Amino acid sequence: MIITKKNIDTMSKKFILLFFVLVSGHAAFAQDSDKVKFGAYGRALQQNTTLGDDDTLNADNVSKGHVLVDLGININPDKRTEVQAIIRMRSDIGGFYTAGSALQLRQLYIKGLIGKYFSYQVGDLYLQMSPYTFFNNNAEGSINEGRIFADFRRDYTNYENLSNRGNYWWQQGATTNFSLAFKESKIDSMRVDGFFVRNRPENALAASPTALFHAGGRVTLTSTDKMKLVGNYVNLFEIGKTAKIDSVISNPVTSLQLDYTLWNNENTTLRFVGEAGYSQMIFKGYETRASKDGSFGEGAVKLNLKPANLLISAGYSYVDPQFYSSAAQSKRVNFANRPSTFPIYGNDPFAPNYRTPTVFDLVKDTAVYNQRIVSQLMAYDPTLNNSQAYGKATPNRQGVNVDVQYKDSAQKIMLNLNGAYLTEIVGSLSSNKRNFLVLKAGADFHIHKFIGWKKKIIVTTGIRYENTKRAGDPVETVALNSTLVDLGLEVEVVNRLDLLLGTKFLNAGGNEIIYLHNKFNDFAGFSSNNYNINQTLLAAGLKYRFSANTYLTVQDNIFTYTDGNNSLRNYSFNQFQIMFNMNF
Amino acid sequence: MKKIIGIVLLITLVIASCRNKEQLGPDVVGLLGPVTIVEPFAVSSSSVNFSTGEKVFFTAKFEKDAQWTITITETDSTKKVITGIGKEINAENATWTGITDVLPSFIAGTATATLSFQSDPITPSLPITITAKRISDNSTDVLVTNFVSAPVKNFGSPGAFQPTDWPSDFPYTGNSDPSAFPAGSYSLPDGDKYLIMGPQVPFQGNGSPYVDLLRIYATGAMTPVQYFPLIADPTKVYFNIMVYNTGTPTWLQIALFENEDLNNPVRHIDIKPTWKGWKLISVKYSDFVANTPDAGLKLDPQKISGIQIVLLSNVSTASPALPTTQVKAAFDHITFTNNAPYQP
Repeated sequence: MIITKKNIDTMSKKFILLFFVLVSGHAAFAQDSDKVKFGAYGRALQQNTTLGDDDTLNADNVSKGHVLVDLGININPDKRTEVQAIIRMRSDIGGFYTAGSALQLRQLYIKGLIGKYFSYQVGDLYLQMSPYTFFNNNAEGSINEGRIFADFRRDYTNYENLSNRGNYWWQQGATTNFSLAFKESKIDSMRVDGFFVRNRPENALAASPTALFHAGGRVTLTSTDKMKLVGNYVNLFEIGKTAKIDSVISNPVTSLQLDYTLWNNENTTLRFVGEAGYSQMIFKGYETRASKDGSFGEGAVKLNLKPANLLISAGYSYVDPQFYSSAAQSKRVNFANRPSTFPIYGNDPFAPNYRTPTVFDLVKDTAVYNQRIVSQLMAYDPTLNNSQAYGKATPNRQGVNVDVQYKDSAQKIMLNLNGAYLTEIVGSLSSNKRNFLVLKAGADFHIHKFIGWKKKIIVTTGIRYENTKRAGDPVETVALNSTLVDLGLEVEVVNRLDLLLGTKFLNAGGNEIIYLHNKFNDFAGFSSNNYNINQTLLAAGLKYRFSANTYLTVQDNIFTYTDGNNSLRNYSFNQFQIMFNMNF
Repeated sequence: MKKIIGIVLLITLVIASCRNKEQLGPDVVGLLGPVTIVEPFAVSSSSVNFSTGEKVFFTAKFEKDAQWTITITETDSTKKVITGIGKEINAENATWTGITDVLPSFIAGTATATLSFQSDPITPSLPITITAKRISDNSTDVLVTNFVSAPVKNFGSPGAFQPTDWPSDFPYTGNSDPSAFPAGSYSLPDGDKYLIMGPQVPFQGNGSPYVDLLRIYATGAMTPVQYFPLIADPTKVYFNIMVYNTGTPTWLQIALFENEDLNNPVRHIDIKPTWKGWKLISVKYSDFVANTPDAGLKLDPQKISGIQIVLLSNVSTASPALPTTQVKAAFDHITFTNNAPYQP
């Protein structure tokens, strides 16, 4: 077939997508030499989303897609230096003749060794410390989700948001470390890490944003296999002169972590792990603002019963109401953002319904994700996580938690149970305190191992239940229940071809009075809300694995949102998508 | 090693014992319950000239934190609402510069301010004499036209509609019938002039919804092209227009010209009014829909060189009623604003 403008125009989008897929697939090659190596990540994605009949504000069907390749170039000019650049080539499907096409530098870093001991990295880098100092908490809306959602979250949503490395924050700056080993000493080794990064501004185009920096470091002392002691320090600070202002905010946080093995033999290991620390939110140049000082502490005992493949831990945590730690409390999801898929809906263009991030968007939409570390406590959705909206570092919480992990020796069943009971340390908008009960369970069943089938049959299940209560006068009482259920099925029907099914279900009912913060984390008002919400996401699809890192998936998702308090806010939509994903 | 564990546990216990006993924020029971007024509701000046930048502020004190609302009205619809939470109303949280939340704008005359709470008590209202209305803030607003005075930048438009038409009683565009709009047809939202379009059936009748069109450029001549002086952040530039909907099936399309092409708009937004009377429409530049994929990638408000307002019929193009249904609307105070929507 000769491809001309005329017949390109008449080809269906799906055919064009297939064309791109095939071309991409055959073009996958790598050419390496000793000093220069290539790697690449490629993706072709096409999504067609259809909104239900009730809406008149949107086009009935929205179609979008793209093809991209992130070409990684790794250069080793000498044995001690490495330069890596990732260049993105992207073309929007539907944007012919280069419209919508872009060539961008996605990431760049240089790293190497100075002398024998000092390693360094400059440019783009990923940072993580403890959950109270520098930690990118997981997104809400997931509890051991099925493969059909987990693949897309990993390869699209998290990848695009540069948050696909666990709990690391993507940053730009410099980091260095060195290690020392000691002989005939109680301390076997010491490692020192330091970093200095420029924090991403709210909007690079905005007039004169104040430059925000993050600096810190970590000292790790290790003594045989029994003990590890870690000292952490981080400080987020503004430099006022960069924006011609005198009043600036800084947020230093210091902590000490201990991991001590109390008992370790063939059958049992017993460890104590804990962390304690202190934070300040300093307002320099503000005449009437005193600094906010807070502390935290947590301790847990972890028992590993090796023959039973059972890991049990129990702990207590305390986080002061005025504990602020920007890099640990900034959220991966920005609940103030509107989803990109049908952000408004309804029938009245001047009184539309605004969609807020749902379990669908949390899997599918990069627009609701956040890459910025901010000192202000961000908005959250109490129906998805009310007890620890800012992770372990959520201020004004104390309580106990128990965790059980089980994995049988044949890995037929993997089980994780978690329960926590937390209370507020002081009342919020009331002299009465809230209490929170959180129960979580997740289990993977490798059915094929039970029945002796060579191909995979895996069932994944997860449930999260949360209850929030506050007693008192009728106007101050709080009673909110939410339940999130995740179910998934993965069946290898023929060689390399998997049938994938998945569902997410969120039910939330009750009321909550939310304390709103301004940029100084002072009181800025409150929001009293009643909830009677059901969200249901159903997905079915096929996945063909070309190799361990390359696959093609075709799937359909149906999402339904119902608000029992206001039927005008109900909506549903269907999304059909094809994604080709490769990594080489 | 036991000493280390002991120290850590001790630190944890010390931290846990140093509890901040102070409640976070005011008490919601007090905010929503009856309020005891310690110092009565008052205004800083009973007379104000907003045209010179004068302001007034309100004061009052309460025994406990309260959720309070000050409502200022003038005509039946003109209304400004100031709300807050706290024990005190003062210049910091209750200053009024003459702006309104609901059109028309506050004009010279007597306004009334009322303080209210979630429950009791009801307080007496305060009269405020406005000697002159507020004018636009030149530091943030880029006025395209208010149909009274010349715009801040020179402008031109093709067809029958010329710059010299301003100021006039009721400037109109090429396809409209001014005789159908006698003086005093509608209230005056901003000054004593506004623009009319219609009442006409769709211009081409046979299946096209097009009724009328207005184009205004940032330059008087077509060349050299000039741009409206806006900031670079596409999320902080707003297009604002006051629209009077008469109840006819109106479809309004607002489009922007950018760079040197003054014939082909690059982005647009469709508005299908559901209200009656005047309403201020403010649309963020980044919310305009790009006409091409290329325009979607190039958001640059500093390259806006003109605007186009098209009046269309919202009757379905498949409906036999389309060629016979008249459409009309009025417009006023077209302006761009930097950082925030226009405050009328």
